[in-house]
Amino acid sequence: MEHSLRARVRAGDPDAFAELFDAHAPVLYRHAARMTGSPAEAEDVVSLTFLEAWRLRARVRPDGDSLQPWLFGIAVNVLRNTTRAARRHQNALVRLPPPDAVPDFADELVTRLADADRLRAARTALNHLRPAEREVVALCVWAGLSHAAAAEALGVKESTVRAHLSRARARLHRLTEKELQRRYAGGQVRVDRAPAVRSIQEQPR
Amino acid sequence: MNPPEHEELARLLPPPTITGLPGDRHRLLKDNLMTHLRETPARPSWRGPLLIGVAAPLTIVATVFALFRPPAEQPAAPMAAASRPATSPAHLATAEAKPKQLLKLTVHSAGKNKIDFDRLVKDLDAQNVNVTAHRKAPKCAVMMVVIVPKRKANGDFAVSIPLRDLKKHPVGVAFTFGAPKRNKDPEFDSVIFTYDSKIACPEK
Repeated sequence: MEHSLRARVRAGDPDAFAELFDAHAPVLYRHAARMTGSPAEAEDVVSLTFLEAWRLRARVRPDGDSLQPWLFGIAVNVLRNTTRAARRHQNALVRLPPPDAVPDFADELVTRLADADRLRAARTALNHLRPAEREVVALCVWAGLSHAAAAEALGVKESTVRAHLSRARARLHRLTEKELQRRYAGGQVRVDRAPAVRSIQEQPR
Repeated sequence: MNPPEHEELARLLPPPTITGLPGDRHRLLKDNLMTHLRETPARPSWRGPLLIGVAAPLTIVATVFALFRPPAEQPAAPMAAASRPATSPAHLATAEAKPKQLLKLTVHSAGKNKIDFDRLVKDLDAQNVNVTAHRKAPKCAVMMVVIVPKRKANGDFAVSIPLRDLKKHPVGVAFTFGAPKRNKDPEFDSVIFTYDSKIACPEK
């Protein structure tokens, strides 16, 4: 079925892109929201990713498994340079109305606010990593892509993905240890404590 | 990385739990995408070499004209600006505009000093450039007229203008290709771009 979908995507069948959108937009949105820390920016990234996918459809390989790594690869490039992608598709984007300023239900408002807090905390945590490490962690650990899929999305070797993950883990370990030392020395944490504090709380004691 | 190390990394940096794309926004984004896809039908991915040569400059034109569209003509309502001012791609594009940037435009020649207007219109349309091209020179005083006297080796016209100059003329810009000569038959051709068809300058 995926092979047929690939052929239809390559042929520029809009219905194939509608299927792609339904299947992959939610996971792309979550990835973009975690990377940007902003639901509104994440929506733009999703839109731009599919507009770019439409533009680049001829580059889809005729054979292969899921198209998800290909879409993630496009999303990674859009996230790296949202401005350039937005310029390219400006006409398509400006038609999009903004979200409602006031949600219909109070529960939804509370949920959105909680999401915003969590996304800000995640963004702060990610900022402790190098850009390449951020992308690999977000794809493999947060989005659940395999090393092979992440390597395809990023256009690198699997060994590179593994190396970035190892370095990210070591870096986060060092940060956590520093945080522990500060906490048990009686010092007060002033900035950027969300990732380390969370990690300490969730570790077995 | 083996699974235990992977799990450890997930503990060190747990993924933020978010609710995902709301159903109404999913439908809206999808509808917008599908509208765009159906408006831009599939074309062969291969294009002739000359068209490729023109595509990049015209993309820059699209950016420039979008940047300097009059604020009142922006589709984004005040409510939109209030709800997502810092994240809209349009906002980012505007923020990135630098005064030292240049507008680069290439227009095909149709022989002598004539431009290939039909082809230009098709190229603009193919590139989704949000401007209206006019055949005749305008009388509109607020427009900037750019004279492009020289041609490239292949006969096409090419011009570069600082964006800061365009910014002073929010209605549009006129390009005259070839050198107008006094007391002689005109040996030039013009094309006028206006940012919106509703505010087109009166034509001769």
